[in-house]
Amino acid sequence: MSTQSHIDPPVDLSADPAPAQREPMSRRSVLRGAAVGAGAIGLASVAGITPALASPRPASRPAAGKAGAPAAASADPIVVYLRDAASGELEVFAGNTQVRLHDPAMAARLTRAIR
Amino acid sequence: MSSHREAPEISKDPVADSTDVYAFVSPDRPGTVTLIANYIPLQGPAGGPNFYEFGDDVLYEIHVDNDGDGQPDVTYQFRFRTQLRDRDTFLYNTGPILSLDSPNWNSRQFYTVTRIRHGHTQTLAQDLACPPCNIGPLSTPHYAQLAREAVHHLSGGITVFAGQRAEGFYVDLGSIFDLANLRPFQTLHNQFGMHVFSHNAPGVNATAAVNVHSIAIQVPISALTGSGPVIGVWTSASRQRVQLFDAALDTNLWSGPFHQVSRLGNPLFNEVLVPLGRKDEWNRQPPSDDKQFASYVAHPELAGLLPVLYPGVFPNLAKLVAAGTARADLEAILLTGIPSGIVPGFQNFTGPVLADMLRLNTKIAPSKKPNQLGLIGGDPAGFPNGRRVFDDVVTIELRAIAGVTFPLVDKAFKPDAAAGVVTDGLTAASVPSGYLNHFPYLGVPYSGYDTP
Repeated sequence: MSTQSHIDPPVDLSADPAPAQREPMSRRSVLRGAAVGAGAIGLASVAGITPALASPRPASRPAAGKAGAPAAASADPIVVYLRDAASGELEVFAGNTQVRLHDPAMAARLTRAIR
Repeated sequence: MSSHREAPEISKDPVADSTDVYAFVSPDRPGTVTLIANYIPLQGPAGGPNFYEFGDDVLYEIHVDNDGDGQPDVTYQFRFRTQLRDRDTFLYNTGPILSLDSPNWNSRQFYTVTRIRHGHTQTLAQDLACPPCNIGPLSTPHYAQLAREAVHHLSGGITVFAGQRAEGFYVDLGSIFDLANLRPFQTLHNQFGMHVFSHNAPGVNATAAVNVHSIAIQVPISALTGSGPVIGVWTSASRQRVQLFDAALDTNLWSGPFHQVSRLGNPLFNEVLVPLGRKDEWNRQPPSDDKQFASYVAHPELAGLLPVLYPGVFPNLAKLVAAGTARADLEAILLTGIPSGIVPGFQNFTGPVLADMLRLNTKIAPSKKPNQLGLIGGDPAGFPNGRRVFDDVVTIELRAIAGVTFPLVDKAFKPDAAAGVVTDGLTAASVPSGYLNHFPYLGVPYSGYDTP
């Protein structure tokens, strides 16, 4: 089983609101993480994405029920990893979960914010 | 070493670095199997004031496969939590530690044990206390008793222990990593033409005065086996994918799913067989994917080196290597288990899936007179039928790679005389702490005061 076996495939979130409709993204808001991440998780929910993992289970084993730690809770900080700015591939981490997103617009905003 | 610092990345992450795995039918409770996974290699006993601890951020697991697919059917998970009593002292302890709840003990660890079986997860125990490290006669004056208090008996006939132990694995690291210059045979080494050694010497146990951290669990055999008596055992350590230092909170933040960073089944598999460029990759894989590493078992680099380093000593091995013959004996020992009909009265075969697991036939009773050379010493209760704490796995694997086990698959092959005697010159008696004859079987850790 590959290490990617529990990770959802990238999802195209091109239905994301147009740039003008979004709140402006400052460097501070990106680094704070939670606000951006919460938005990402919200989009993931709309798109029907299931969190990748809900237990402290390494990817080397098949899912076998819920283990000790809970899935991401609302208080968990959220970390966004822009894997590929050109394609808009993002990974979002919270608690023991991970989702992979495809969002070129958000990638562009993140890139502008950090540079 | 068995698996201490065996791969470039994991050598920089000692709390997640598995060093040895043991699996054996408990000699004093033969209805149970004892599984031990060691972590945090080469602990200098005096290494304070921040003495060694399990990683609170590491997911430690011991896995058991009972249907031969190289995937876990039963997994025991261990998660640790460190509690600091007093942030205003630099000391690990402020007086003698006479009990596990001693107010003098500042930095304590507790752990949770979880079992995953048949898709069902169950927390077996929470807030179990670890013992302290062995500091010295003033700090830990009754260490053996203190450690005994950290042996916890759970429901279902399960016993657990997690904490520091004396290193039970013995090996002459200095000679082996000096271009396999085995001291008892060093005059036969080619010495690269330098003529450094004119006489042979006894082995030196490089791990004679270091400690490790052990996770030990003793379980009724029936709780581990499937339709047959043979189980495959390995350990793994995993970390969450993201680590971020939050400077505002002055703390590390971990996030995301756990991914495996270390694993260990058979001793020395990753250390000796897998090449440097793939060792960390191997650490990240499950045993069920080990087919991709099978060529390193079938054609071990060390088998080709021995005839070169020891000219004229291993002529039959040299011919075997030159012929490109796959080492089906090593594949059986390490990747599938030995089928019945090969060694009279013995088998630990798990099927055709190539997977590095420590295979234990639980039907074989503990030996009344154990031989530390295990199966090649005529003792089927020892390695490679599981592994006991005192088994001489270095000598066993050296001899196997040198060809002593190849007649199991090719009766026409005559091993070189040296293959039956090659060794790094150590025995279980080379371990100063000795071993316990009861759970957790590894010896009392060396104290910092006595072993500076």
